[in-house]
Amino acid sequence: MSRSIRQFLGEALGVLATVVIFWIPFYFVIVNAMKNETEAAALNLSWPSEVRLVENFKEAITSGNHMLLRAFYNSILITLL
Amino acid sequence: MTKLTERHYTYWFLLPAGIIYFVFFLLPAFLSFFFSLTRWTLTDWEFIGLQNFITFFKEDSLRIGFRNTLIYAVTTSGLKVIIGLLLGNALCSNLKTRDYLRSVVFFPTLLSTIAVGVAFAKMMHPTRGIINQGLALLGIQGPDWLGNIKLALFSVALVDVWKGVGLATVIYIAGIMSIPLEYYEALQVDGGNNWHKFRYITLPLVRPAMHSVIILSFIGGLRSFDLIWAMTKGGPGFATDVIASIIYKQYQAGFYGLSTAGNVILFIAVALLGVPLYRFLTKREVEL
Repeated sequence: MSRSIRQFLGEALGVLATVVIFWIPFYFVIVNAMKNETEAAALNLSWPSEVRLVENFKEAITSGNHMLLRAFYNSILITLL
Repeated sequence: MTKLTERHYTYWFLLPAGIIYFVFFLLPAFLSFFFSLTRWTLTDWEFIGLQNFITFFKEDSLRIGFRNTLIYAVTTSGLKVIIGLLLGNALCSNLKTRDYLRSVVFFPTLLSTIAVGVAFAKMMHPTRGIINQGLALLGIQGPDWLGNIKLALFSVALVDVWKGVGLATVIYIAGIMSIPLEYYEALQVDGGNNWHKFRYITLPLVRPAMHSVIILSFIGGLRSFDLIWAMTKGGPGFATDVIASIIYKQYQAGFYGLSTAGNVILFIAVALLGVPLYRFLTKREVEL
């Protein structure tokens, strides 16, 4: 019994560590991708007041004369060659 | 006539690949050795012997870069070797969450280095960054990760480990999986515990995998550039400048000969450190 409890605690600790070390940075990037400029500059984890995911993505893709699409095309080209 | 039929193909088939290899690999390599001995403006060059190398070693910033490169390579490589081994060993036991943990540990390897660098530079902001905010919750006053001259290089190294430890773990897992299970069974019959399993079976027999990890991460550390450039651009001062970033800065400034000399120095350093390390490690491997 105590053995299975110890294993459970060990696994829970491992999963908790992955949440802190891997998921929080990932969440940080995702949640900041949805914020407007002033809120994103605060660099925190709070949920944005208005979700601007689609607008931000649209802006990122269209900025610099669709630079991002060209960059993706280039990356794919290099990978395939 | 018999001689021709003995061979499967003639050596002429090597020619196309050989020409490509010569033009795009050997020729530039030798040219760069040559141009490292000149004052070079792309259109014109003047032979100046070893002057570039002397300048390179005389300038303080360049010496600091050399030292930083070594510190960076040893830190990242050492941490990846140790953490990777522990993770690889843990992720080969029969945990319920094993598959989940394996995929999560590997996932930073898939991300772009520049994106990771930019995101972590934001998270390491001295007051508003979430790392220091999190530490404040625990009552710890977090340091200025990237602004402190003594700490900045290690902060970048830590992010490098965060990103690179997944690959090391995968190599270790492959190595541990290839150890025959009979050895563990024999140890169990003899009454050994988990520590004995690790110490007397896994550790000696995982050597080939460990050597791959050491070589790959060490050489990767010596050549590292993109993460450092994304996070600090070599700053504050020259605190995180490594050879590669110094070469880049010299090249930007138009010192083509000098930066080529830097590249030759980097090549020699990688070869001088990498080859003996490889020799030393392969000598100590045991047969499975």
